[in-house]
Amino acid sequence: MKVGLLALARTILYLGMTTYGGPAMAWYIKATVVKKKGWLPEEQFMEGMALAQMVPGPTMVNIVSYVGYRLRGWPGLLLSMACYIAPSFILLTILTAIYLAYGEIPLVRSIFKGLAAVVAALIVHASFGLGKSVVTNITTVLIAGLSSVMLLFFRIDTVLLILTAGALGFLFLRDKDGKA
Amino acid sequence: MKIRYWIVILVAAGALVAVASFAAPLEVEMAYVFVKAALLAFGGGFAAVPLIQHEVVNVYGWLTTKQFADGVALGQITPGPIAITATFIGYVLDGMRGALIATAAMFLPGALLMGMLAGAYQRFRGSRQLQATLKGILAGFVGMLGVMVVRFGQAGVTDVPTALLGAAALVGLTVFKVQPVYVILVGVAVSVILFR
Repeated sequence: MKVGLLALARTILYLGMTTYGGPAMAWYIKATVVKKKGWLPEEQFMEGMALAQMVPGPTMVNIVSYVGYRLRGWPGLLLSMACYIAPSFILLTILTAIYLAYGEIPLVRSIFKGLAAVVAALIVHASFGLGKSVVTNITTVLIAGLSSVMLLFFRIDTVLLILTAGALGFLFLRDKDGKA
Repeated sequence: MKIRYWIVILVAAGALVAVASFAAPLEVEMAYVFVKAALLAFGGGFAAVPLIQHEVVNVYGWLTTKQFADGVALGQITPGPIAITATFIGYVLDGMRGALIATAAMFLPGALLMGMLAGAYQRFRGSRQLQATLKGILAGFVGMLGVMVVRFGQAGVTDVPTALLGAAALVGLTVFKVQPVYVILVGVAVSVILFR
C-alpha cells in the first residue's frame, strides 16, 4: 500500500497538534497508524517503537520518523519529522516572542515566578518516573549517585559522563537482574 | 553498514558544512550543543533536558537557570516533545534563524538514526550487552535529573508560596496523575492570583 505524502503529512500534523506528554502517547500514535489507517502491521510498528527507545533523541519524534521512513523512505521520514514538530515549533516561537517582549511586565513576571516552582515539580516527577524503572539495585544507585557527583562538583563533560555510565552498565549490569 | 547509509551521512555532513559556512559562530556552537544533546539523550526527550541545561547554563552561560526553567515551562505548554525547549533557546539567542537551527539540530540526529537502523533492528534486538549499557546510561540520567532538581529548586522555590505551589504541583502529578500541561495551566492561574 502506497501512502500519499500529503495524506502522511496531514495525519502526522494532526498527531503533532494533539499529542501531549510522553511515552503514553505512543499508544495513541499506534492506534492512528496501525488501527485507524492500517498503514503498518502492528508487529512492524512495535519494532519501530522498541528501536525508538534505544536510539537517542525524543522517542515520539523517533517513532513518527520511523513511520514516515517505512511508508515513503527518506522523504517520508523528513516530512513526518517536520510535520510532527511544526505545530509545537510555531506555537513556541509565538510564545517565546511574547515572553521576550513582555517578560518584564509584572503580570508575566508573576506567572513565571510560579511556573518555576511548577517546573521544579515536573523535574522531580520525571526523575521519580525514570528512577523507579531504572534504579532497581545497588549498582544502578551507585551509577546514578556517581553521575550526580560528577556533574555537581566536577562539571564533567556530558559525553564523558554518558560514556562512563554506559561502560559501568556494560560491565556490572549484565545478567544480574534478568532483563535489563 | 550499507553504502546508502554512508551516502546519507555524507550528504548530511555536507549540508552541515554548507550551513556552518554561512552561520555565525554562535549558531555553529548552538548547533553543536543540540546535536550533542540529541545524540546523548538515550531514554527520550526528558534525558535531553539536563544535557541541554548543563551546556546552555553551566558551560556556555547563554541563559540563567531561571530563564532555562521558563523555557522548559513554555515547552510543556505546547504539544509534542519536551525537547522543543530547543526552539525557545534558539529563538531567545538568535531569533527565528536560531530557533530553526536549534530545532533541526535537536531532532534530526535521532530521526536520521531511525532511518539508518530501521532495517538492522533484528540484529541487535536481543543483545544483553546493549541492554545493560543502556540501563547504565539511564541510571546516569537519573543522577543528572537529580542535579537538575537541586538547581531548579534553588531557582524556583524561593519562598513559602512557591514551595507550596511546587508541592501542590508534585501531588497533582504523582498522586492524581494530572497531565503536565494542565498542571502548568493551573500553575499560571494560581500564580496570577498569588504573586500579583
